[in-house]
Amino acid sequence: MSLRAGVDTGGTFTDLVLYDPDTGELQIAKVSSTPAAPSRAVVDHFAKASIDTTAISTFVHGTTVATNALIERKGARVALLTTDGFRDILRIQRTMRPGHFDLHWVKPKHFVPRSNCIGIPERILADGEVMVPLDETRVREEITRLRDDGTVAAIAVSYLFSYVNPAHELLTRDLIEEIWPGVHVSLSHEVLPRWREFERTSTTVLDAYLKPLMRDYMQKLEETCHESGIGQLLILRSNGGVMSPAKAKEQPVSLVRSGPSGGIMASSAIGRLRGLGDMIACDMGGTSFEACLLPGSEPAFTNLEEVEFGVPIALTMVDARAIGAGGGSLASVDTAGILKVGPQSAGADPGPACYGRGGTQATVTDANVVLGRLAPEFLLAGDLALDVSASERALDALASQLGLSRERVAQGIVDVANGNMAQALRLVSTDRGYDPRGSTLIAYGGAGPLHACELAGSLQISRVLIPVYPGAFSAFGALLADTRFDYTQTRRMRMRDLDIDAVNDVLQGLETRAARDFRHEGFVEAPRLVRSVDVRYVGQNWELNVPLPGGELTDGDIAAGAKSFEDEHERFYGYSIPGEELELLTFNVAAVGTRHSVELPKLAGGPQPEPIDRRPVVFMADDGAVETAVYDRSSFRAGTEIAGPAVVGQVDATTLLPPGSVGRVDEYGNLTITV
Amino acid sequence: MTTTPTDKRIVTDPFLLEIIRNNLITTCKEMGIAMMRTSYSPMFNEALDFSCVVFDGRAEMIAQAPFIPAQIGSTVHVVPTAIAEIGAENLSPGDVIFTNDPYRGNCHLPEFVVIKPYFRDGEILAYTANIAHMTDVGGMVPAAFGDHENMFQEGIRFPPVKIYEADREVEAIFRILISNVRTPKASYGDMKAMIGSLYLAERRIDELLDRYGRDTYEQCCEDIKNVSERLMRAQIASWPDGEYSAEGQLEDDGVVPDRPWKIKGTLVIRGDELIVDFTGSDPQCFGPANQTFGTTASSAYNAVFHMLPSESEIPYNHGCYRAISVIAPPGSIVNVNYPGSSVGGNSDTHPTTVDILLKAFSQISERSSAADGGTCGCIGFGGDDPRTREPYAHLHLEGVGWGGRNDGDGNDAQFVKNGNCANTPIEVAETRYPFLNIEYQLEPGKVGHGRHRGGFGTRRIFRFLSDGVHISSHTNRHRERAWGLFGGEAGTNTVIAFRRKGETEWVRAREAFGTASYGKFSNVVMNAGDEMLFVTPSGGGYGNAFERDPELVLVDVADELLSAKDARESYGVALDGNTVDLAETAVLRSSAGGGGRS
Amino acid sequence: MTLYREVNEMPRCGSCGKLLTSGGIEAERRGHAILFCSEQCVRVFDTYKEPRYGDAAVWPESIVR
Repeated sequence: MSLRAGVDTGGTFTDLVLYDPDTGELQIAKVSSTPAAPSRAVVDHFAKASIDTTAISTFVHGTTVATNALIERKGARVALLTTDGFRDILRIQRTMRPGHFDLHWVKPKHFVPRSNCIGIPERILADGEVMVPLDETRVREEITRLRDDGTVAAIAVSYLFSYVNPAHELLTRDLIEEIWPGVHVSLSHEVLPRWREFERTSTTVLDAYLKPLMRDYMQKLEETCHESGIGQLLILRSNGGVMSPAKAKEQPVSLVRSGPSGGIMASSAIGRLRGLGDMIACDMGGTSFEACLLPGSEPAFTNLEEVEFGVPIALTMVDARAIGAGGGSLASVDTAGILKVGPQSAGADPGPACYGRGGTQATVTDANVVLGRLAPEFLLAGDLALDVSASERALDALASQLGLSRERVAQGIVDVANGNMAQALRLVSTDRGYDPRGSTLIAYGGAGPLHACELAGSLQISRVLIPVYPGAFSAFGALLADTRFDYTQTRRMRMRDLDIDAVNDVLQGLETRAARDFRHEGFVEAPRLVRSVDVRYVGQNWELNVPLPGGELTDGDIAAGAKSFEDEHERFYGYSIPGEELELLTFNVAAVGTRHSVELPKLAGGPQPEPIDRRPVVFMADDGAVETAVYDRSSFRAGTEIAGPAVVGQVDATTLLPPGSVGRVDEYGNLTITV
Repeated sequence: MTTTPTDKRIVTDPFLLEIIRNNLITTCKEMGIAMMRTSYSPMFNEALDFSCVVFDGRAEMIAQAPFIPAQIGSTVHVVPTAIAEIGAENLSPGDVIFTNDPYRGNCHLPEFVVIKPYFRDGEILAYTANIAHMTDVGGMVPAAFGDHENMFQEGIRFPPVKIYEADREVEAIFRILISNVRTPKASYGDMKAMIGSLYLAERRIDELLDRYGRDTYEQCCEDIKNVSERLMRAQIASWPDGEYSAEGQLEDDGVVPDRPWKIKGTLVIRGDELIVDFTGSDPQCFGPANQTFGTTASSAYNAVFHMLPSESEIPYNHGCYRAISVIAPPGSIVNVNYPGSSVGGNSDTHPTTVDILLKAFSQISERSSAADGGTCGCIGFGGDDPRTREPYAHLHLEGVGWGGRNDGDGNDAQFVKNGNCANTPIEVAETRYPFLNIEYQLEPGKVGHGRHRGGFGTRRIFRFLSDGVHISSHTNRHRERAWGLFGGEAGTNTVIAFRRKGETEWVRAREAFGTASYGKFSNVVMNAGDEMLFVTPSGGGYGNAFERDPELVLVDVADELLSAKDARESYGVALDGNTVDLAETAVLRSSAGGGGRS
Repeated sequence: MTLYREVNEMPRCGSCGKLLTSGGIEAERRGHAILFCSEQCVRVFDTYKEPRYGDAAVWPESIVR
């Protein structure tokens, strides 16, 4: 037997999916996160569920730990070594501001205080020539000082033009290892070998910032897997692919936005399977809400991402918006008497009041409980029973502050949270000129299905899809991910008098590296290689990516590529300049190894389900409670049709169908609701 | 007192209104992305010195995006003027209008404006427009900034003409333009990029009209403007009625040594109407520091919009501009007459004008800020690149310290208020041009102190790699300083200085080259191995420095931006190692009489 | 070909000072025919500029007859 496991560790919950390729069976579980030792939660669950961990051959792990560390600023103390004379690169940033009429915008502080930004005498020029050799004595002095001072845990090294000539960065690392072996080091030409020094330095600093934390995390994860007899451990990364823990330790910055990319990949798979076209994916967990646009069911990518304006992280990652709004978001009344929800969260501990873990402050989950929208008989996170009276007490405290009824306040909390989330949905759709009204809203995460229909209503979206295991959807997506590495080499060549041998040399060099890396990752067959080259008109500053065929390239292939460029340029920008000279800038090879395919299990047909209960649920506080059918999702079959108002419970999430809506179940178990 | 009635009913469903409005704003942003990606000059693809706007069929602006305030405000005037002068009835599908005329509502000559009428069923339903700062426009100096005395020296000027007809280049216009600039290839590529972005915008408008239909679109245009007008008037009405004046001066015009020029601005708030009256400003000067009408209107809008609360969500379009009127006497420094020069007015006078108006606003609101550094840091470089033997021209811009404000310190190294340009990465600049950056960091110790201090400026040293580099500059605040507010101190000065190869001392322009001004000069020549220093000015302080939270002073000292001596003398804060000595601080502050330094 | 008129021979709006290359609204004020760019500017002239500046409110550049 060789089971495959996908895991998504969030701030509040850890989700787990087990797939048996022989039977096609999927098992899911949702447990509370154990932030101190993240893999503990998973292993404990395996033990409790009597799962034979030695039968797990692949274990794919997605995590929000890296993202949260950046947002909450909980990473390591970093020192930055940079070219002397340029120590303020992180403070100057790009001199732009996000709002062109904003007098009060505060430029963010980057992640390294000025006193830890150290200029090292060295200087490389645009063509790679060394103008000032590296001052090794100075490097030694500074590293010795940092080591003896003891407050810094990681060093980022970013010199001008290192992507052309990395010699000084490499030598610096040698010197660091000589004096302070074991300290974490990130070199800018390894993290991001591209020009534009601020973006590269910023990304490198973030990599160093995350290294100690993520190395520790990976280490514990590896040990846990080893002890449990689990086979191969893989880590989900920000471009939707997976990589080995060894690679993850080397470049932790590529784990930022790791968790969400799983759910987005899974959304894409369902969208393509069902022919849904445009989609908006939204993931609502305990702490945060993420939205991503998938035009034509394909996820959007970006490499212009920022932790916030002024703090770029220039790696390729799925393009999603996140806000602090989740089931555990705390409700409070501010000094102006206004009800606020989030971004602070009750987290996993103590969690919402109804978890009975000592939380007394009202959260979104507590509001839903009071409104009757969560059914106490469905267990969240395995062993949890809901303490309804604790929710009521928490809500009453706010109600007396506001002078309103408990239901009114609960409704208000849900409305405010929905308003915040609708704004995030707008940022990825209408703010980009996409009219969401023809899209399908696919909602997942533990709390997504509870809010999905109301969110859809606020954007006039009429179709909502709740996957079969919404609470573990990101973990499921982790299972689907391929191993993917991107290789890139800048080698400027003008089209006139092109040396075709040089082109083939570069591509072969990249592909040799890819083959070697994949062998190290444990692949037997060679990866699938996708080649492309970045092209521009001589004189332009930004390139368009043009695909290239495999094998030994001829001049004819390049000519075809040039034609492609002109057509793309015309298509994208509305014009081309025929006859104008082109230059090739950067050669790219994406190496993709598909591990296994996952067949979504099909659901059999069967009789229409009966509700397990009917009870009062508040949909609009002013209308009072409405008699509502409560269903157990596990009773649904392919072809099941239910009408709102309804509450559909399952172990990992609750789905709410408002009055007037209709839900249908497809052959894969997805519930599509027309609102 | 009457104002235009604002009880115009909003017809469009609010959800649809927001979708369509955001769609048009996104179209502007997409035009910007296309500009960035297809243009040739770092001025466009790194500094992002351009703005893309959409006007409706009546030539009234309906959408803009966060681009350059100075350019956007100017399109309010130059776009309708150009259209009216050619005559909308003389436009056909596939036409593109082009102008850079400073006197016809543009902000200054180097700003090129292209306008494309969008036709549907034979009628013009929209105009897409792009205004962008061309690095070289011919004229007396490469990259166009210096000590010009008239418009003819600035460069080639085009009154409104058609540059495209029926989707084809009007070859004559291109030939004339390209043969009169130093960078023909880049300029041609940049023009194609500008015009290409208009075609892209039209595709988006096509999609919009296909989806919603003409009637909905046209009603939306009216509603978009009316909503903004209503919100803008409500904001103006929230400010107390009255007249609020302030003055400031430019230190020189680049031609006449040591003679300052005064700008006076009066905010006249009457109910829900605002008039910005510049009567009382000096006559136009002899150098290029004059503002055109377009620049002056733009600076008025700029100041008003900067005073809106941060959470204000007023969409910026024609509706806002309806509520703001400007009075700029012809022949004054804020409305230059032909053939007066104005190339520096848009970049370097505009920020002072805005800060003067903010000074006026400080009489009615604490939310105004102290003056920012007040210069774009425009330095033009030109010459022949020894590596390629081709001529080049590059316009260099810098960030300055912004002024302190009620809720915090001014930002460091941020581009002045009339712009929103990014610095060109060193790795990009050095790959393209034959000079090096030896240093580029904050200039420590020099800032306008205050309870909330101003932001720090930067310090840059260039070293030239070839002979015969022509350098020109139009900058300010070498003598004047960014003023403080409510007891804050003024910021520190700009420094531009030169050092020949082998020398040790830095020498400023007047001493080195006999120019009339430290900051405004044309075509001084540098050779291989020579260096140039550029320190940008810091922002003014807000409030009494002796009331600053000592912990914040400690942070600046730990950051090595202020010394312990600065802490004592300027802030009355005593430090003991890396903590605040509260007792000693209390003594220092009380012995100063609690009033700080003046 | 028509004679090219330079901008210094063209009128300016009597209230704001903008150059008027075509069109404009003509209004009789203080014994002069003055050109304005818009109704908005006519109103500003009547309600603010003229009461405040009297004769000085009329700029020679905006007089058309």
